[in-house]
Parts: sequence; structure tokens; C-alpha cells
Amino acid sequence: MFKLIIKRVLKNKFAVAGLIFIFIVFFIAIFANNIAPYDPYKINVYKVLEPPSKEHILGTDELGRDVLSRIIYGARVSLKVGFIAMGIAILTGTILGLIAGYYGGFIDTIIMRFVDVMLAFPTLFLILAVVAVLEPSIYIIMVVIGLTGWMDVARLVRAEVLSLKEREFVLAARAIGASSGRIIFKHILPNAIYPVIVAATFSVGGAILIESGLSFLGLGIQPPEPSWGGILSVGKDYITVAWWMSLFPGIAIFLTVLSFNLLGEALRDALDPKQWAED
Amino acid sequence: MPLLRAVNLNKIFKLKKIIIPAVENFNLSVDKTDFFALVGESGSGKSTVAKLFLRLIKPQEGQIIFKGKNIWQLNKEELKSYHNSIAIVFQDPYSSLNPRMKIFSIVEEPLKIHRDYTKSEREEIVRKTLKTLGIDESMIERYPHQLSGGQRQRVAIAKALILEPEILIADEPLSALDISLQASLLNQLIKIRESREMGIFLITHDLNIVKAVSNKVAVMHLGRIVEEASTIDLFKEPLHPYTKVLLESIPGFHRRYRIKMPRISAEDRISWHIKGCRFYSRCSYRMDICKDNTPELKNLGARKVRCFLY
Repeated sequence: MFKLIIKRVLKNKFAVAGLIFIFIVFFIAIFANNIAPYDPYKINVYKVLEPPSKEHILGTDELGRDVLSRIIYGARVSLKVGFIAMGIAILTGTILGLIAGYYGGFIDTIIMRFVDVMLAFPTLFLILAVVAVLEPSIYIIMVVIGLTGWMDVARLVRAEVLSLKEREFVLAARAIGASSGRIIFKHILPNAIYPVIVAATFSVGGAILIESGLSFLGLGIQPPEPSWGGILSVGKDYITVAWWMSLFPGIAIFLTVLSFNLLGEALRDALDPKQWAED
Repeated sequence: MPLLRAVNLNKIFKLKKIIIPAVENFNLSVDKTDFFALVGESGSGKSTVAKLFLRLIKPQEGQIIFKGKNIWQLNKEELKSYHNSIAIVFQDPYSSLNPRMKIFSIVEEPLKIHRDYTKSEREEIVRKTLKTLGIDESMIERYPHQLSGGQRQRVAIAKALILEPEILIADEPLSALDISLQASLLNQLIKIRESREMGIFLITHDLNIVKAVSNKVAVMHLGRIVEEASTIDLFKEPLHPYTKVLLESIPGFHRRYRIKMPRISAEDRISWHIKGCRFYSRCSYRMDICKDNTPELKNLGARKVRCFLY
């Protein structure tokens, strides 16, 4: 089953391209110290706003720092926020969805109405409000993005659980007296996990985008720490004289988010039984 | 004292405003020497009875008595022993096995829950049980989707039998399999039953199987038992008009009972709600009394029938 899914994903050229790009970003983020040609914090007043050249491939910013090095270090922030926010969202959503779907009744009503309430808030404004009140830091941002992105996962998991708990193998487990824990973790969760994986892939891209947006608005990662949204934000002030400061971090955000979405799309197709007849 | 007894069971399903009495005034007892068959058409409430026996759903009224105790009033230990004593085989071997578990883990699970064996002891029992059911050793590391329908159903039966239950509930266990597989699985079930005492409660709509293996039969129609008798008596002389229809519907069988029956109409869908006999609209023996009065299940010597004709 697992091998089959990987095979199907690898058949999709866009997904493979996305996967390769994600690997590259990962590699860059992990080995940023070794790859970056310059110190991303090093200010050089003699080389302010220099266009791309042999020395500075992607040019320099308003303080003479190397844009390429800052983008390379920015990948760390984006991936960290993307994955940890996704982890928080998936964990919260899965747990609440499991509880709501499995126990049903009053507990289900409470959890699902809470989901409705959370969905009624415009997410971005909620995040902005929270970040504005609290001191913006990378950890706050991760948690806030995670805690505003779990509702779809909860709905997804609940729907899966509702259908799984009527399946005969779950009934059989109940008939032999299996505990709720065993039924949930051995019989229901392993069968509900694939749609969660798809949602997780999409939510990494989403979280990166939100983080970039926050940094762009100045409520995300605080300078001088490099982040893609942050570089873009400063770049917009100089866009007429230094287009490279806006373009390259923009491309980095665009390609990374696109890669996660392409991968998510391919995973969704690979896990959809209706598409299986083709191979 | 019978092993498992249903006393005045009533289970009503409510779907918005529609009320369906899936099981009504249901009395039945199964002993450990019985091979009891419950027959009836689709939607007659047979599977609901199975779920009630397995304690998966709670009846609104009535009791299920196991070894003299109501199964809804057991303490923790008695409940465990009940789960240990009763086993289930479902109809569809494609959905009754967890697709994410290997065959070994599937069959091993009941042992993990109910026995304190070591891993190697469990492994030995699993292998032995699978072997009696003709599942090859090489299968135990596979997943259900890598097995054929017949193999899966054998695995499901192995899982049901591994705790050596006192009663096996089989909810249409063979209807998803082809004829030759049905025969070989039935033979295996009979063989296992010869080696040790175990009551079997078989739910089916296949009367050929009922005739071949069971010793008692109850016929169910829209939530009510309409006839109960020993298999020999029932097939020799069906009493209830519905039983007659059922027997007559067996291909190439009992032609002498062939009588013209009115075709089943869409009206039958509302048969649940008429006051009198629920078979009224399809019955060729119907009388005025049947329309507004519900017949009781009458004792006729060794058998029971629910019809005003008797």
C-alpha cells in the first residue's frame, strides 16, 4: 500500500519537481552555515543596494547585506514555522476529530460547534490581533498559526472516524471486548491517517505563506533575523531602485509553497481509489 | 438452562420521523449443542439480532440472558468472560478485516485482549488455528488485500475461533463467497464443531445451507419471528405462508409447494406500520382478521408459528 502510493506520487512529474525543490530547500536550510557565501547579518555601508553581480549573485540590501545569504538563512525560518505549525494543527485537529467522531453525542456537538466558532473568525485578523498583543517571536507565530489551522483537519478526521466506526472490523473489535484505546489507535487511526497526510502537506505551504505575510506586515519574524517575508517587506520600499530585494525572496516563497501544494495534490490523487483504475 | 436467550427483545430505530421496529417481541434460545439458523429476507432484522447478541447495540426493551445473567448488567469480569465466550463472523470478508493489520496481528488480537500468553505462545496458537482452517504459513505476514475472498473469510473465522468461544454468531458468513468455497468452509465449520462443543447461530438467507447444516430454524419477517421449528419439521412441512414462499423460492427445490404469490409491490415498504400481520399484503391465505390484528407466536407441539391459520 505504502509503496504503491509512493509509486503513484513519483509518476506525477509536477510532484517530483515539487519534491526535489523541497529537498533542496531542506538541504539549504540545514547547511546554511556552509552554503551561504556571506554572513547574513554583516552590514557593509560601502555596498548598499548593489544589483546582482558576480560577487553578490542576488545583489545586496539597503544595509549592504548579501540577499542570497539572507534568503538561505530565511529558509530555516520558513521551514521551521511551516512544519511546527503544521504539527500543532495536525495534532490538535486529529485528537479533537477522533474524540468528536468516536464518542459522538454531546462531546461531538461541543467540539464541532467550537470548530464552527473558530472558522467564523477571519484567521488572518485573529493571528494579527494575537501577535499584536503578544511579543512577536518565531515560537508565538508557530503556535498561533498552528492553533488557527486545525479546524479542517478536525472535520476531516471526524468524518473518517464516523464512517470507520461502523465498519465491520471495528464492530468485530468491539464484539471481542477491545478497549476504546485499542480501537482508536489500532483500528481507526491507522485507517484515517492518509487524508491527514494530504492535509498536512497542504498546511505546511499554508503556514509558510501566513508566516511570510506576517513578516511582511512587520508582525512576524523581527529584523535583523532574516526571513523571506521580512526581506520582501523592506524590499518594497526600494522596489524602483532595487528590484532584486523583492523579486528573489518572492520567488523563494512562491516556489516553496507551490512545491508543497503540488506534492499535496499528487498525494491526494494517489490516495483516491477512484484514480487507481488508471494504472 | 440455555446458553444464550433473548427475552422479549424490542429494538426500534428512529430515523427522523420514521420509526422502524427492527426487532419486535423477539424470543429465542440457543444452546451449546445447537446449530441454530435464523433466516429471512433482507431488511427483516436478522443482523440487528446479531448486533444485539454481541452487545453492540442496546435493546429498548427485553433482555439477553447469557448463562442466566443479563448481558447489560454484567460486572467488568463477567463482561470480559462474555466477550471471550461469544464470537462473530461477518458477511463481508473485505470489510471485516482491518486493512492496515497483518494477518498474524488480526488473528492474534483476541489473544492479546483475553489471555496472558507470551508472544511465542500466542504465535503458536495463531499458527495452529490458521492451519486448521487451511491458511498457509506464508500468509501470516501479508495484509488482507493480498488475500482472496475465501482466504480472508477463513482468517475471519480463525480470529473468531481462536478464543474457543462457546457460541459463534455467523452473520451471512458465506454469502460473499462462491459455491465451491461455501461448501469447503461449511465442511470445515462442521469439522471444528465435531471436535469440541460450540453453539452456532447462523444468520442467512440461503435455505440450502440451512437444510444442510442446521438443526433448528427460526424464520424472521420484518422484525418478527413468524415460525420456529426443527430443521427437519420445517422443511418437511412449512406452516407459515411466508416460510412457504421462502422454501418455494429455492431454485429447483420443493416444487410441490409452488403456489401463485402476488408480486412484491412497493407498498411492502410500509408493511412495518400496518396494524395487523406484516405479511398481509403478500399473503395468499389472508383473511379479514389478519389486517388489523397481530397474530401471536403460537406453540404447536415442538414448533411455533405466528399465523391465524393455526
